[in-house]
Amino acid sequence: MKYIRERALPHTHCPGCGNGIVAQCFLRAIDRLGLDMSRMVFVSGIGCSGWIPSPFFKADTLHTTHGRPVAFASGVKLSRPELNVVVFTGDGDGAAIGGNHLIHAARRNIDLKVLLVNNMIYGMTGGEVAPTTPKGIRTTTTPFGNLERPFDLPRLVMGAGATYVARWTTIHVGQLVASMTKALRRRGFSFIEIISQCPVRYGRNVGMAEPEKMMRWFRDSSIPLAKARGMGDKQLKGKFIVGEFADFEAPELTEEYEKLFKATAA
Amino acid sequence: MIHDSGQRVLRATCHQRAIESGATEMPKVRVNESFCKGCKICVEFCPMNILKPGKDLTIRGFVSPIIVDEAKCTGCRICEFYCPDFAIYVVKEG
Amino acid sequence: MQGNEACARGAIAAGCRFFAFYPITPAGEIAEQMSRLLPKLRGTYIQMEDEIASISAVIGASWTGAKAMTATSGPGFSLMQENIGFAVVTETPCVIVNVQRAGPSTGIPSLPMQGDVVQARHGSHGEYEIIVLAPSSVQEMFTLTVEAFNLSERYRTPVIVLADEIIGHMREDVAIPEQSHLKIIDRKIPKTPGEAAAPFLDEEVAPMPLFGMGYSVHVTGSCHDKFGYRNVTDPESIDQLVRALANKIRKHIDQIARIETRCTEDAEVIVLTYGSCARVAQYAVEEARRHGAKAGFVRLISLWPFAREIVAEAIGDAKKVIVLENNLGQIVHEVERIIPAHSEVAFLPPEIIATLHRPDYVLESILKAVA
Repeated sequence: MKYIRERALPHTHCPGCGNGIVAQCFLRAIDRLGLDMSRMVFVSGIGCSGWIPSPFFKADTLHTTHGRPVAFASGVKLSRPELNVVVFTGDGDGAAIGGNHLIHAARRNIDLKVLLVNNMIYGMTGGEVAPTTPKGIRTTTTPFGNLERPFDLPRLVMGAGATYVARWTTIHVGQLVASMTKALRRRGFSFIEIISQCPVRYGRNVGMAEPEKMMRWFRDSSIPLAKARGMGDKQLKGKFIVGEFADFEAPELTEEYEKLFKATAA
Repeated sequence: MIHDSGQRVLRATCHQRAIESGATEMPKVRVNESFCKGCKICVEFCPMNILKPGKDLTIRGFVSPIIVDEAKCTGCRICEFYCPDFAIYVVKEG
Repeated sequence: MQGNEACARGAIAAGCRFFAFYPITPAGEIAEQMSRLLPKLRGTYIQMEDEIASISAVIGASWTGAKAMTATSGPGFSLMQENIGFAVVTETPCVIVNVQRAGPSTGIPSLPMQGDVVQARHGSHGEYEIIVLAPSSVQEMFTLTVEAFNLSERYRTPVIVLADEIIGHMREDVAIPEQSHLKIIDRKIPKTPGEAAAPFLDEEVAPMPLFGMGYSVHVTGSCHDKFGYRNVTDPESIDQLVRALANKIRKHIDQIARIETRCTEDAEVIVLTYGSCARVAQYAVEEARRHGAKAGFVRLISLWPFAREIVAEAIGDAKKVIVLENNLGQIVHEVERIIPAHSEVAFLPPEIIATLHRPDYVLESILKAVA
């Protein structure tokens, strides 16, 4: 409770929405590390995921225009590199309209923690198809079934050079807290995709209107990365590969700037 | 149905610990009705099946869970971890 | 010194320590200078992936306390509009330089036009006020950029410096004052941390809590109250927000508006203009006086908010106002609105748009009007 702005409660997520589980996991990670909320800045975009930190976390919160939290966060981090800047975004906000900012921030290896909550749909605006919606799914704007292939976000972000990439679902609370803890501690662009249930806009379309049904589906369809490596494409169809996809060190952008400042001051 | 192996281990460990610790420190489940949205995730995921939807509506018009058999609670805290609304938690009371 | 370089030096002198940019002609030289001057001052130059990212990063940096700027031209300016509105509604001080080029769309990147005047005022969606300055010389590229920062800090608003390709690329002598002689204004920051102080919607400008200082400030583009908390159910809340933010600027128009006048006291014809057109107008008015015509010169230094009373006063008893613009008529409509009953407005674009008016062409119009 010490991490939440009391006057902002109760929060406005739908009953059963995975956002609350993500929020809980995150606050547990903060608590575990004993981080000072006054040294953190939370930047979120437009969409249901944007409401995880804003206005509920008792810290500096910046609720940006749609798709831009990573860009705003980059400005915050470059200007005050000693602050711990965390971005909460969604699959539409982060990978559709915000896709360009995502890949460039990854390329720059700027020390941002990007938590992308992927509910595979545009929840807030009425259930439209998203770049992460599986092929064939009916949504409000694909009444005959989605024609497009979805993104594999870890692969996208790794291709852009991200130095920490993980994917979990809302059923993997223990692993999620561990990944978030790691991301908060390390320096460099850290990306965690969290597959989350949207019972109202996604679940209802696929016969899983109850949140627990979606969460069981996550549990039953998740394959750990190590195991997935030994499996063929046919076996992996429709499954969620979870785990830590990348974890390595590379020069971090604000540190590079610090070197430049020292070199030019001389 | 394939069970997540992690969850099975969690369940077994908690149950074991509960038996070993004896009756001196039993876990109790607390529900914060003003936060609960009646999503029933806790009801569905409790490994000991001790949560059920209640009969009355909360002040916000939701059906919050009631604890039907508190003695069976192993203190695994799955209800707490999976609640999206900070509405249910486990305390240890001696 | 080149106009664009003077602009960069003005920004640095004003205290700018964050510059985010996406390459575009004819603003590139501003970025080149900033990338050279900032590092030894521990300032950040970052080239972002597009103009939207640039203005986003500028706003983010401003909330940590940095004086932040971006520069662009028409196509980039159009992209930035959504976030300019975000800066307005969150009361974020920042400076946006638009070195206008011939448009619309890709147009001609290396020719001047004054086509973005109304866009600078109304480019973002929603109802709001904004401050726009129009430099007419390389010297003004320096001084008005400093002014832009001062105004943005004083009124917690984005300020647009609306230059054009001629002013940006031309070279003239510049007098750069000693830093100690420059008047620099910094935003007010609340003295005590904690959520107590209301950080928004004060018509006298609320102090701005900065990130990372324990203020726990909530910044959102949604309709919000003076504490920053979102309210999207009550029309009263957006009424309060829109009016408060507009009044914050409107109430202070006397301190914000700047115009230059020459020979207007007894003028029968006034040439009213701004930006690069003013250079031709000034010459034409002087020549007209030499011909015995009672011509006057009014130059708008601030375009928006449009200073109706000050401009009407400057027009005085003149019978005709010839408005020079390098477009098909943008500021002229504001002049038409305030023109006294005894006077009339004529609009005079260059014979060829995207070039400077021919000085003799303007002189002819003045002499014809006096006759």
